[in-house]
Amino acid sequence: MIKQDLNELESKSIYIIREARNKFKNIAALWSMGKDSTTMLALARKAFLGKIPFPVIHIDNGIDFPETYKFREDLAKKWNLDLIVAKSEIKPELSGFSCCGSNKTEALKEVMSEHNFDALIVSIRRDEHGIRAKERIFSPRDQSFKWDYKNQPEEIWNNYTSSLDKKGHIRVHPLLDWNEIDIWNYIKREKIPINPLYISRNNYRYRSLGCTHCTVPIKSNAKNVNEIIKELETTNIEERSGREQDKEKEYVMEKLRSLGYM
Amino acid sequence: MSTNDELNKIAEELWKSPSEDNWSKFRETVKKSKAKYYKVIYTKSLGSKEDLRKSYAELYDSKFKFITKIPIFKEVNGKVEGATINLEGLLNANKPDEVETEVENKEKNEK
Repeated sequence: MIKQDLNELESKSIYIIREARNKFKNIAALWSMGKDSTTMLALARKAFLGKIPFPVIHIDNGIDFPETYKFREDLAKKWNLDLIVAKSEIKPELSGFSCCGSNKTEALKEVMSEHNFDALIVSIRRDEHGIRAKERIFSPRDQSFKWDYKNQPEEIWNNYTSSLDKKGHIRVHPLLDWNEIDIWNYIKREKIPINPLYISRNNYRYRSLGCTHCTVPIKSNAKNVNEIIKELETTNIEERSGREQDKEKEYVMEKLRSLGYM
Repeated sequence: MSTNDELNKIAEELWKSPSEDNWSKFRETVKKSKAKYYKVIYTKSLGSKEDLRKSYAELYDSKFKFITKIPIFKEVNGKVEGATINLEGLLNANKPDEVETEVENKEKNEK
């Protein structure tokens, strides 16, 4: 796994977050309480001198891990986050590829419309999944959240698009260039709090966190951040190998994302 | 009545009616019980309310002895919602079957 310069990555991400805040009237960030979105919040705190000046949204399908809920409550309090919990109800008529499909996207649509958000910070990384590698840093979505990945704006010399269809929104991806190991090295350097499920207990730990229905732990003895980094330096296993939606037919993630999924 | 019996009783009530009132009783009871670990058992994908009704959580004590199983949803005004937040305070069992063997081995070695 290629390690990159953390100072450069940090500087670029802070620039992107500040640009987003500057270019859009009403911005919010998605927070899943995983390592990436928590790192993004730590970067946003740095970008705005300790206080994140926009709401943080958790799309809650009610079946996240109890440890994740506890982590949400503790960190929201500690970092004084303006937290919006958007409940996603299981609706049979919306049954999609998995619990992550239409139900979560529908809840996101509702909260975006209710608060009139015109931009949304999402903590995806290019190295996570082939379809995420096709993303732009500022990525337009139309009114129905659709992503036209075959027709995207160019991003030359750090000029990002801020023009959008009147009722659409822009997805902002400040962590697009980071690798998994960069995230962990940054967590270590900045002492960022992490969800306890990442730490090995009984010889297993979670490497990528979703909800209780789509994530399985991996065999691991990594009992702290240093050991996680060591483990990643030698592993050949894909990060999202424990995620159900990635194991389904190859096009599922591509289809989910084109329909508005995170 | 032991705390585990109380937990079994409230689990039965939850299966009959996963109301907020019963979940509130569960949260109180589980704190006093010997339950330490949970394991969520689920259908492969969650595409309907039925999938959520079929899913459940198994509760174990500190030595991975099974205590009871509970639903992981609640019903509010006819709406079915996930309710794993009510397990807060318990630890994810990860792989209880293998862990059980480990605990047994450790106990054997200590003897």
